[in-house]
Amino acid sequence: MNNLQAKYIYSSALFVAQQPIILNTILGSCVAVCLWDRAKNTGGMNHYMLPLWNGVGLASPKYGNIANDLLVKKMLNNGSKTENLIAKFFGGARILDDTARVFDIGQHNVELAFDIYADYGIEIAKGSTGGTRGRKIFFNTQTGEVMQKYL
Amino acid sequence: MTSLTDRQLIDELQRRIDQRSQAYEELEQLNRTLRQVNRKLIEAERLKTNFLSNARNEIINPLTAILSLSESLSANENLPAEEIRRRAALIYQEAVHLDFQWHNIFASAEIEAGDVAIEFYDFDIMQAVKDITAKFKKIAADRNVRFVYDGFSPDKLIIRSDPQKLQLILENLIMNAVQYTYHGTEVNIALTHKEEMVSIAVTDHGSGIDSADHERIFDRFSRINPAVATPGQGHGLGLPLTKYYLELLGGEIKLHSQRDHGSTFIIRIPDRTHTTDSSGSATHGEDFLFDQSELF
Repeated sequence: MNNLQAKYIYSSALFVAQQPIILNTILGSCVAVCLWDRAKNTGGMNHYMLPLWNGVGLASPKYGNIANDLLVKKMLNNGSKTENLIAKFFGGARILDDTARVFDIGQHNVELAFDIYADYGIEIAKGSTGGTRGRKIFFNTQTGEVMQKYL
Repeated sequence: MTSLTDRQLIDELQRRIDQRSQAYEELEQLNRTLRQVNRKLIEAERLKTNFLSNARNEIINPLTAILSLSESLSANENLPAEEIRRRAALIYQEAVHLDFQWHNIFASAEIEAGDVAIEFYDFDIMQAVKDITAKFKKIAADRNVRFVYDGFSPDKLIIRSDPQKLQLILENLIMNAVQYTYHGTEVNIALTHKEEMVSIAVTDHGSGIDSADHERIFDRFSRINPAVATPGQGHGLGLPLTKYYLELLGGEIKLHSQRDHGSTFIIRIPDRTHTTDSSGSATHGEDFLFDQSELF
């Protein structure tokens, strides 16, 4: 996969690339958003565990509402324009075999992403969400391409 | 079309009614949660405002002391050596405070910005604890507080974890204990290492924490009974930060405390010496071949 450097995005972390790089992560019910700027050929990724911060503990990008706002803001600060951005969503699997649960964290993580990026007016391209299997993804911030393996 | 018996119809209706009332209950539950979250957020906003004025004191007070003490040192030519040492010690003590507060504030800011990375190294956890108590020695001595160690023999224990994060975790627990324990008592630090888990318990002999407040102390910017011990100390970032770091390291924190019986904070952190952890390392992915269905 060419000579680009790779960086692993831990859960609750996020990263916006200044130089072309392969951002990779492993997802279960967590969601990672790959945000790509097609005009500047740059991108960033987050990796959040829960949909909404409930006021407990630190207001970190462990929570989708914070992680997504922060990712968009960082891309915009980096000189991107919303109309050039394309978002792809990955993860949000239902890992526990517990279909009766009212609150499917993975699904809520994904729904939140769709809501937030629609609000920003950012184009949403095909990603891979839901299901019951974990994923490993590689995001090439130069080409905007995301490669995915099921675990 | 098959015709249904009355019994079947009634059963079906009953089933649907049950489903509806269950859905209704779930909705009620969600509504309650939402109201709770709402209250929490309002509270969080209020605390944030308090935080700014707290943090301002935390930084300006030690800085003012450092400025005036160092000024007095350089302006007075005929100070006896004893007095010079005393003032230098005070400057050091204030600088330790400032350093500690800054680390907490910066670390919390890093977490909230999503800029945290974990780096595992081998290090001596006992030495790490001793270094911290040495740093806080003067502050403890001023309150006539002694450190009492348990489980620190032999005096060396090499583990693998993130030493910088662990240092800040321990600094917070030990500093809190020193500040909240009663004047002239002791702070106990007990260490055990079992089945690749390190457990450190920090006990103070202060006024303790009501069980109703056990959860709340891990909330951002909240301080239980700030009037206790040292007014104006702390900004309510320490424990949320500690808890977050522990989660990051795969550990946990527990609190045993009752009003008037002091508090014990127990942390457990995995020792990764024998762990071959692949999830954390960056993989280049050359080993994978992707087909068209796996490209997005």
